[in-house]
Amino acid sequence: METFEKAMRLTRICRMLYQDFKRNKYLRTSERFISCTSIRCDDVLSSGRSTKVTEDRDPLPLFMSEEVQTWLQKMTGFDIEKICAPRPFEADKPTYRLLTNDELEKEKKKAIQIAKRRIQMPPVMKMRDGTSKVLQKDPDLNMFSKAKHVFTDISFGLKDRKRFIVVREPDGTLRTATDKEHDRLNQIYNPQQGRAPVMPRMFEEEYLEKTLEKGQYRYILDRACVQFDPDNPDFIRVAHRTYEAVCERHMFDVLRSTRHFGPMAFYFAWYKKIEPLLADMVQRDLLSDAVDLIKLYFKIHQELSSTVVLEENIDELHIIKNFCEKMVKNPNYKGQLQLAIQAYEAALTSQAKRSQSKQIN
Amino acid sequence: MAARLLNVSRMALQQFSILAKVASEDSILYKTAILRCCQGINNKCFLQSVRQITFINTQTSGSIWKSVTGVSNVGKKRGRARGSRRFVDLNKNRRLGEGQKGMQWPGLNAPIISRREGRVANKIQVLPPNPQKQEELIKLREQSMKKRARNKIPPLQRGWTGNKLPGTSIGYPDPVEDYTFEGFDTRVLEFKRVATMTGTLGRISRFSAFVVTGNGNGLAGYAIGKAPNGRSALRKAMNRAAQHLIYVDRYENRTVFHNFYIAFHKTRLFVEKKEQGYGLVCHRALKTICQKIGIQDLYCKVEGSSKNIQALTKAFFEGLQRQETHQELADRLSLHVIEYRPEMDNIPRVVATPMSNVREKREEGEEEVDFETLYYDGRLPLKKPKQKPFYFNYQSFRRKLKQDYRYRNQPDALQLRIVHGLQPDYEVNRPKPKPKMKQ
Repeated sequence: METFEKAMRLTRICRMLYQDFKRNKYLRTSERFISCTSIRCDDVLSSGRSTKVTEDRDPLPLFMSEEVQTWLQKMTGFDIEKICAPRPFEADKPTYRLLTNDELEKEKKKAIQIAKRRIQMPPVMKMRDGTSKVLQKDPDLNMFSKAKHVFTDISFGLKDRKRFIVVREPDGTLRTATDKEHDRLNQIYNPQQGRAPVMPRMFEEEYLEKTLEKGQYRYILDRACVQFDPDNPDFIRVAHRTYEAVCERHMFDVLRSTRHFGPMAFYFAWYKKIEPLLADMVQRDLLSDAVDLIKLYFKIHQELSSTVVLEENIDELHIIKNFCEKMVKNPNYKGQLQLAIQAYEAALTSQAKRSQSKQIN
Repeated sequence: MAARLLNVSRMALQQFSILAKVASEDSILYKTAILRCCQGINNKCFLQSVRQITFINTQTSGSIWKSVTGVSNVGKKRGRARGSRRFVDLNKNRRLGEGQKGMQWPGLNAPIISRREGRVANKIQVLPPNPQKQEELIKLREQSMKKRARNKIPPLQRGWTGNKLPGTSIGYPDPVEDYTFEGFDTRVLEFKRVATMTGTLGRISRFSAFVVTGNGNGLAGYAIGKAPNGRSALRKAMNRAAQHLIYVDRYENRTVFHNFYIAFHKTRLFVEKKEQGYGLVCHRALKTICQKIGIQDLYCKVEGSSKNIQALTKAFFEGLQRQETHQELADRLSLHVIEYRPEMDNIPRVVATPMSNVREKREEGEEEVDFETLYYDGRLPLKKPKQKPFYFNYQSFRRKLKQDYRYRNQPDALQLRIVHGLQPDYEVNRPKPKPKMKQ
């Protein structure tokens, strides 16, 4: 009801504007917090592709649950040099200080806070519903202008996602803005640093593939985080494609200690493709991470949870082996995972032998 | 004379004209033709004398060129000869006596006895025609006309300015016993003529070369060499520089450890440590030296004399050697040396920790050491703010700034529009011309 009243108020203002326009031949805003924009090349701007929603479940509550967050954070790791790795902008003059032990400890604590902010995971969300609602049809206003008129609520303190934006079509229809229009107008009134008003071409499929070939996964994901909201279909498309590319080349380590590792692991668990990541973890002697990943897998797909026993006191390698036997059906993936487990076991035995011989000596 | 010529019989005239046609191009044959003709008419007629000697064939080609393009000596001094055409030698590659026909005259343009055909005397004869002869001649003449091209030096090995030696590369030093100076390169820093007065010989001048040699990886040396010959002075200096190599410790193999001040004679240097990618912003001689040492990022301000290259070099090398590494500094003050890099979110990165006795706490009221000016020896370089142009406060310029203000983002926006294909095509949107009124 509230939105409807708001829309009606806007319609009234629109009418007043129209009369004003007729009288004075130019537009004048009647209320301070309402501003009016006309858009001409709208058709060009709004022509973008969208991927189809395949999954109806909303992953956000699961992703945000405390348990899942702790697992994902543990998996990500915390290498401060990598979290704060030099960004691709021009370097500036470094500063130097000479500090005592106490001061250094304090500085290190501050650095950890900075790194923690840097490593916050972008939420995994369901694709947003970008359709617009028709609020009113006013045939009297037909052809009052050649351009669409967009009305934006620019009251102080409003959040971008909650901002009310409506469009008066030239044929007199008043409707809420589509998501693309919403994003663009928000960017016009409240510009966010680094976000382009139109989607950069590097996210178009053709150019995205080229960038992926170069292996700039972190750069793509970082820029996508700046450019899009996490429920933007384009963000989901770009992120998923990048995770796939990382998986194809087994470059998981590139994303460790970055904010994208958690969402990536969550994506693999969500779509039941955790095997390559699992094999990578076993190879790198990160068994507890592997077990966490398996736990996450069963947390998401609770209907399968009875097949593998996940208890604290059971050996980690045993859980992984069990998972490999019971859950992995793709022979390719299975072979990969088995090989990794065998190599790990071989390494363990050789290590044991070495330590034994040392003791004897 | 004309009346007498009329008496010449038709036959004789015809004979003459045929001969004359054949021989018109060659003056010797021409003369013989006239003689034969005269014999043919039994000395009954006189011919008009032909003027064989003209201005053209008496003067040398040089004097003819000069008469056309010559400029007086006074004119030359005033630069009038600058645009004149260069002398073209039209007789280039022509052989004497050969003529258009290609005659062979033994003793003049051919040996009297031919060597090829078993020592037989050569005959006076017309050689077989060579249709490409004329083209070949023209080609040869054009070739000789062309200026000889100077061999190009690659841009990175050219000097600092013009065709001067300083800044140029002169290769690597000569090997000493088994050691070859591989990877070394030598650059000239100063090259000049110096003189001394002696009691017996008077003024004796020599060349003085001041060079720096280095492998671009910390090892470098400089030296001066003098010799009466420029080239040997350079060699002497280069080889001597190779004997005086110094190892320069660098931070991350790219810059100095800290800012420092150093002076030699009237030359004072303020050297600044810089971030990666900054480049070498300093005196050209220092830039060359840095390249040879392997320093990539540095700023240096020279105060006092910047023309005395030798003092500059000595000061710089002295300053580099006096540097204190971070480890040494940490040990000296018993404090951690911490680096903050803006591109890394200014997180503290420990560069050096003291080997022993780290200080736990700072005393009350104790100030932190300023790393920036720690090695400036109590001085500071003069840093002038950038001067505004003289017209900055003019009303007209203010007006212009005001007018431009609203278009300040347009160049960037235009570029963005073009990238996204949103820039409307000018041809499409151009306003249509108004139809002309019929009269």
